[in-house]
Amino acid sequence: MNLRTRRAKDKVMKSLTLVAFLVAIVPLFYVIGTVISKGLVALNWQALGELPPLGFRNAIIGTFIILAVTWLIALPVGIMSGVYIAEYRGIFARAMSFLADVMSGVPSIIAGIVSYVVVVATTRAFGLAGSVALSILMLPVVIRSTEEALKSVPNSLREASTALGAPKWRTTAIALNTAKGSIATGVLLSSARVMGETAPLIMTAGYSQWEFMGMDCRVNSLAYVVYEFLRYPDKERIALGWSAALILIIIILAINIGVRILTRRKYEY
Amino acid sequence: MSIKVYTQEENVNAELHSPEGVMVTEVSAGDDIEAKMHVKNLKAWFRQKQVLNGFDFKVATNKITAIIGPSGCGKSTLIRCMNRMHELTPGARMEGGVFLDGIDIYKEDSVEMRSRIGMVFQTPNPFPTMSVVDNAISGIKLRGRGKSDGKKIGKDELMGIGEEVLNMAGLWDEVKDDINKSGAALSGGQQQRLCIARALAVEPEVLLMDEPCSALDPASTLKIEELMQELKKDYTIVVVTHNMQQAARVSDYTAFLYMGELIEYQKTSVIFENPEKELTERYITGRFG
Repeated sequence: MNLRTRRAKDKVMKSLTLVAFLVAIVPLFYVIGTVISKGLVALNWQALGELPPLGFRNAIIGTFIILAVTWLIALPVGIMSGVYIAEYRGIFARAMSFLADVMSGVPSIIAGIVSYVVVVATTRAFGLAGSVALSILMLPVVIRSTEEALKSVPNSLREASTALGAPKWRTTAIALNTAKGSIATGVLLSSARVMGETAPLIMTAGYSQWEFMGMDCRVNSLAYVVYEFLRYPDKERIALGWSAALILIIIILAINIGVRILTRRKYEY
Repeated sequence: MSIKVYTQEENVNAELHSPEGVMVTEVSAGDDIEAKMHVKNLKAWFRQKQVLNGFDFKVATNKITAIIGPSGCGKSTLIRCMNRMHELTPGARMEGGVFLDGIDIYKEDSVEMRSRIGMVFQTPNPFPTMSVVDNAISGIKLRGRGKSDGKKIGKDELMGIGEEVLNMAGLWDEVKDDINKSGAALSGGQQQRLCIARALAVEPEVLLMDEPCSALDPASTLKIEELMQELKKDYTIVVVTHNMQQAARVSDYTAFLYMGELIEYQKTSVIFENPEKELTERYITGRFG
């Protein structure tokens, strides 16, 4: 094989990978482009500031409230579980790590049904049930990212702490403090993920056209507004649904960019 | 390359076990010294592999004791047994006793014992999330800021201790303008002296140093060696080193370990000028290891 054919083959392969890349990003840009063009139609202060059917203010607030309660449930449990798995190794910890992996495969609709059965059917707390359902989805991610972050903390730091006469829990606190950047990254990325979940909310937090009235009532959310409004036959409602989709995408994008900035700053002094 | 090294060790090994070889477990030297720490019949394992075969070893008060020997001879394991770090390694276990001023450290609280027997590691390991001064006083904070009489140490006093130990480690003048920078922002040699300062802040009686200079350049090494000479007035120091010149320069006593045995333990001047065992001589003159 002479030089020229080798170079030609090289070029062909390079173009093929480029084509594949372009094919991959076309849908991505198409999705974003569609949401932007359709979402901008009805996006104005009224859409952001009014209650349904004129706007979706309660959905923006509701999304963050549901997320906040999800954090209250998933973060303590998830981070502590991750600490247990990474710092107190053993058969039980390995089993837990495996269970977290299995749990991350639970379909979101099933998390919703389970939450309905456990929370709504017993207490009728719809909003709380929404957060519980999202917690089920978020927990495995938080557990695993905490575990991985702690495992990436060099053992020499634990040894340094132990050799100074620190008790085990303080040594763990040092490791946790060192790993907090990666843990925050995992938490934020999984938050962005669950914010866009609609299926777990169908039977739980659901839809509300009123102000937020507490976690025992229905709590509106952006993802659910998209699902709800786009099923209506009138144009204004559909346009408003697209606007809600645009806001949701902007929030999630902002979180992702925030994570990028957060993780980049970690390596500067 | 590894084959060559292996062959050399094999040769020595053959000599060790040959009839006229020097199979030693009983070492006479060290009986006359005033012992701060006493290692008695220490055996240690990593899973099935025995790394220390059981020997006695005394560490002289306010002296520097060097432990030398080829890679894998058990010097790090020995030093890690002496402040109960060995037991934290998964699969590691040990038998025998380690005594500090006549107290069996394995019968006392491990946390308390580790604060009386400080340790400096091979690679500098300051806490990256803490500033220089916070690193220096981290040991006190990690132990709950408590003094032994239960009284809390105030913030100003903590800063004072920070400055004091950084001074002792010869680091204060270099870092006094950057004490709020991250400990990881210092140079390697400075980081190691920060680690020494950190170990000193908890007021240990013994300082164990596991190859403290192997990751450092010659200038930093020299600074650490000078520091060790300063520190031995108040502390008993045990230093594991790969570097025989370093052992000859800094230590008062030298122990030569080979394959889990204490081959020879002498005053440093004796071991380097007139070693008793042939194996020691061969190692010191660089014929293997």
